[in-house]
Amino acid sequence: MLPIDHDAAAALAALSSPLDHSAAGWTRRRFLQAVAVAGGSAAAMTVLPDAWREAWAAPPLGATDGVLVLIGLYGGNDGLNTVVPITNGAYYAKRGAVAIQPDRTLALTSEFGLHPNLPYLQALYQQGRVGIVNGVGYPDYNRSHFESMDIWMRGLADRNSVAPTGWIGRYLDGIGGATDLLQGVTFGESVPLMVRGATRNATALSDYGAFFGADTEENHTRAYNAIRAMAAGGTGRGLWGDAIATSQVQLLDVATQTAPLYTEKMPGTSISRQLLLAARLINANLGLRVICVDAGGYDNHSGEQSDHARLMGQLDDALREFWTTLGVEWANRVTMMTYSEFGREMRGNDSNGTDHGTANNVILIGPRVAGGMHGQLPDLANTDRYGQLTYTVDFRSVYATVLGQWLNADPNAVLGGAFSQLSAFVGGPIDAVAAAAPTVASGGTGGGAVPGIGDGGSPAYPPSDPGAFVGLTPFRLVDTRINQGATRLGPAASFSIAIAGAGTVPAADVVAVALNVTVTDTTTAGYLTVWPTGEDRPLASNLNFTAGQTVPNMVFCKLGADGGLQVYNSGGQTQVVIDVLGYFSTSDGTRLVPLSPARVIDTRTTNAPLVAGTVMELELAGVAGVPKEGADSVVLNLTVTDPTLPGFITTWPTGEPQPLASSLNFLRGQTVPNLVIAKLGGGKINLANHAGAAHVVADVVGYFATNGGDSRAVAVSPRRLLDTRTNNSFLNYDNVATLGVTGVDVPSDASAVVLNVTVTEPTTPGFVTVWPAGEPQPVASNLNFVRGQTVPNLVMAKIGRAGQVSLYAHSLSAHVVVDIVGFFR
Amino acid sequence: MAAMSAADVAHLLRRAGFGGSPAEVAAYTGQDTAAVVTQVLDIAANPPEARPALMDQTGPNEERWKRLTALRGYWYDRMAFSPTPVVEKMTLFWHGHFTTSADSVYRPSALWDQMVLYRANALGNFRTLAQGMALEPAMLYYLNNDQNRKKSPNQNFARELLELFLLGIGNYTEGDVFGAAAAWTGHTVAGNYDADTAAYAFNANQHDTGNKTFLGTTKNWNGPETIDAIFDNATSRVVMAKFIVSKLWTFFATPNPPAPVVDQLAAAFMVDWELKPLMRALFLRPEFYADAVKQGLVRTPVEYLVTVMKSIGWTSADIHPDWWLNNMGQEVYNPPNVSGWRPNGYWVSAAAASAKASFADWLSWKLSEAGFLNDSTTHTGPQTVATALASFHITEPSTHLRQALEQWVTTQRAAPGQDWAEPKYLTLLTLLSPDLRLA
Repeated sequence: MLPIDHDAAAALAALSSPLDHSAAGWTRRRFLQAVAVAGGSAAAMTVLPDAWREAWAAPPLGATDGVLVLIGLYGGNDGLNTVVPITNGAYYAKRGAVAIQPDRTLALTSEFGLHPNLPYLQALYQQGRVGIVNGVGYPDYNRSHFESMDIWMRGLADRNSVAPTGWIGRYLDGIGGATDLLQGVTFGESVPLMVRGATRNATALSDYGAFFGADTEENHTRAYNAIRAMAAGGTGRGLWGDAIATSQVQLLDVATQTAPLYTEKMPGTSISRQLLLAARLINANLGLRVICVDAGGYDNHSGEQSDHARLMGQLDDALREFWTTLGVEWANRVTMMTYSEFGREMRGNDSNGTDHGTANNVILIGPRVAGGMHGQLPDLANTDRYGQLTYTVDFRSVYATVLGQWLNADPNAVLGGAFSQLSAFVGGPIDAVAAAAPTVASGGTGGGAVPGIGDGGSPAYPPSDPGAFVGLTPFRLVDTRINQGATRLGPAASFSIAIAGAGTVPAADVVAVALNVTVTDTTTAGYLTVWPTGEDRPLASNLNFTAGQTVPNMVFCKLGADGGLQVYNSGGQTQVVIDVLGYFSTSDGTRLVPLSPARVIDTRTTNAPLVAGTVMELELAGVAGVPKEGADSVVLNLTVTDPTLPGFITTWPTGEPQPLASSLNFLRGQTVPNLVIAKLGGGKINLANHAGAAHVVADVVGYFATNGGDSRAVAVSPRRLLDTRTNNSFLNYDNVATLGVTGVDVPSDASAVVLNVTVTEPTTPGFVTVWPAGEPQPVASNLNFVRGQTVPNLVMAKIGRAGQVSLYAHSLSAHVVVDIVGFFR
Repeated sequence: MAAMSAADVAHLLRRAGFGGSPAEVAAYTGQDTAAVVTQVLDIAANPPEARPALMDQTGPNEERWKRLTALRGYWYDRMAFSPTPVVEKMTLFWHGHFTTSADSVYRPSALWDQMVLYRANALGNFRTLAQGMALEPAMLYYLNNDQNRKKSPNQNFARELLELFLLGIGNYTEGDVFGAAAAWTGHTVAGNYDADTAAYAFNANQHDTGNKTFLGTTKNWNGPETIDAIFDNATSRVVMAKFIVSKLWTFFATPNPPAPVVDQLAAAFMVDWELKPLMRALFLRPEFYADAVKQGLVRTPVEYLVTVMKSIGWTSADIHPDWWLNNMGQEVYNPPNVSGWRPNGYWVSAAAASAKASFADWLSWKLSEAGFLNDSTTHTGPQTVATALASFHITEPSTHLRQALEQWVTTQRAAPGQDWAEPKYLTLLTLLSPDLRLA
């Protein structure tokens, strides 16, 4: 799409060669053949046959090849109102009404705030994924859209050159490979100068539809058939005639195969569509190196407050669209870069806008970008005699940096001269999947984002009584919806409940309990804390929720001296349901044998979801490390995904009647995990789904047996082990956190640890896996989440090498909070 | 020579120019080959140069860019509509051979001057052309001879003169390059960059007057003498004649010319280095009309676009060649490098197909709007296909193409209510037919 600014559009048009006017033409293009993009992930693109990829895609990307996504903000984005210098008096003095007051900005640093409509960019910044290069420009500035865009696009040391190539085009010229079609992609009806090379051009894709050859309108279809017929059986015009006809058939094939990129439901704004397609293209692994997207409308001479704010919001949405669509295996291979032909003048004009300026910021985004501020803000108080800012970083230095440090190219050759480079990357592209392998031992650096808590040497764990586990057929103890056991919890309210002696729990010798706690009908965001009676409420949470959510979690809690526990609600009005799964006794019971997680069922693989009205029998004795005989209960991490209706799953011993209890609750479409202790009946458990159909995934993490050794449960008062929010870090797929769990309150001979793990603010969908340190990362997940979700789960993990467990969060970035609640020894 | 078949006439007109209309082909068909070639090479009607007005404006880069576009458009129009297209085809050959890029030569006026020289000598004397080429400011800029000074010789021009322009790689020594570079010192440009005026100038102060060795002779060589020496040296003149003949055969007939053809044409060429007799001899070779030659060349994007312009009578102003040719990969004054454009496979790829399809989609839409072929449904399938093919000067379509298009018409007409689409899609398919893409 060409930008809507008249002048900038004219300049861009002049610097571009139109490719395809038919989309705007007289037959409506229909882009069907949509393939459901499951979860917006890479999965949809597996429809591309490998053979086609090899034949028509660019050479496959090596593990260290980076992809660059260029975002052109045409018209001249107001960088000063994008990254606002909130402590700069000159800015506020000269900008006047167009300035953005500090309290309206989103926090970045002490000196800069972000435009209020860029919350996603702010989140990325706070995760260290955004590098802002201030003061980018060039000598002898030109403030014509055409001239300045021309200079930026050519990107040559000799700015007087009228070379018909742009800096990305020259980069593409140099990367070789037999097929040229999909190394560079741009969206719209033209190929901008920037991506035109001497021997290669970027391919222009519509942001609505595919290559020539993908239209399913009947006249087009017949024409495609005729083009195929021209090639079928040879042309009768010799070798070259055949080659030409064949190349056209290949074009049709490429178009057909890329058609799934275009689903019917595309986002509304052009920039969102382009970035969504960009992510899908990268996910498709076609060998793309550079994708150019553009957004227009930034020539805000008047009414800037509203117009620019709208564009910022659209940009932020589009960034979110991109990073949440991008397959996790690609994120470490992608860097984004924004640019404009110029910034805006310091001075606000009389139309509540700003006029063409000079130096501007360039924003780099990606996991491998060195987050923070780069370059230097021009001296805003001392503009030149025309009121313009003086650049501090030559734009070709930014290009040289990206070419040299990200694209592995020779910047001098591409730019026709040498330019100094910035330290704008923490490193080059890396293979996320390989990097995620659990290779980090204690003291390793690959997992450096989250420091583990080391083994303290002399365990000083509190004298809690160890208990052996007695699994029960679950029973419901509390349901505030019907005022059973307690009434609905208001804000900052709590209730106490007796466990010892309740239901089938004996009155004596009970030291801890295993519960399934669910909140529902929540009115605000909040969390629930469960802790022993007679103690101060700890800084810990058992489950977190937002308004309207239903969230279950297993709770493992020490009992107070009176055999009771307390439940605290931080949110608004909250309904609470508590089911008792079992208890830990000093006098009898079974002992835990922790296992490395192993998947025992995944109905997605057989596409046979658990349907309401049916009971699934799951044989667990003799499976996944559970012995054929002697196991009393199993500890499962149970996850439900893609449920068609709201409902809950119940697990109970095979051979017994189905109880009224839930192992986990969910809403339609949710993915919900929960740790479940399930008593076996004849070596099996039953699973039933209350409504609709839902996929069920279960990982076995341990079992209880009478001959299980001396591994008895010890509940501790909850203690926070890790909170990435407070140490300004996060987890992602290129690091594995190794957490020392022994020491403090867990003895070094403990065999398993019970953790409550909560993920919050994940920027992409993903999952968390916890497993014994030093062992290979298993195919298992402890909890799954979608973008933005806060999800807790109780985790029981065998303790591995050096008293540690490994924790991996499969996401672009996610905050993780870990509370330790108990152990087995 | 025998009377020419329509197929042979069409082939000659495609190669010697940018294709012939059915009427042009019919007019020559049945005539003696020698007579037809004589008429094709009769360039008395070659129109005088008409420098675009925009060329004489001066201004900043933006204006320079517009002047370049005007310069290109002028040439494309000449190719399409000149009564002597062989002059333009030869000029295109020389532009690819003694090439220059606007990338390096920012001066549209210098490019204009060079094009005028090439056109004036396109079918003239090769020696005159070679000597003139060397002193054109565009070339002096392009290969940096304007910076070739006695104390720091720049070998760029001297090397390409031997390697790419006259002798071919392997037919000279490094010493020859060294000697020639020294001989060409001081041959530079005097001009005003901003005013886009430039003229050849000899700067004696920068010329190396010492002895240099070139082609085995040591003396105080001066630049142009090195070109003369190549023409006069008993060994190098043979090498050069074969080198040029081979390139011409590759451009006009097909790559990999047979040795007897090259030897015989070269022997005649080096008598007086006249190009018109050489081309006449080339077009009269029976090998030129072999099936392998007829099927042996792909139209370059410029040739394809110009053929379309000529067929439908649309000028550069109508069809905007710059919109399309860059994506197709070929623009005049924008060769990929100093060795010019390569043939055939260079122009056949899915990406190239994509660029042509985009153009064809656009043009068929535009033509349809203009009423092109709009009575097609009133004719039988074979009639309407024949009309469409003839409209784009495909006078000898393959049976296979005709059948594919006729089959398409049958299918299209079977679809209820879609008659309106026939002219547009028939145009589209004709534009994408392999026959139109072949030279």
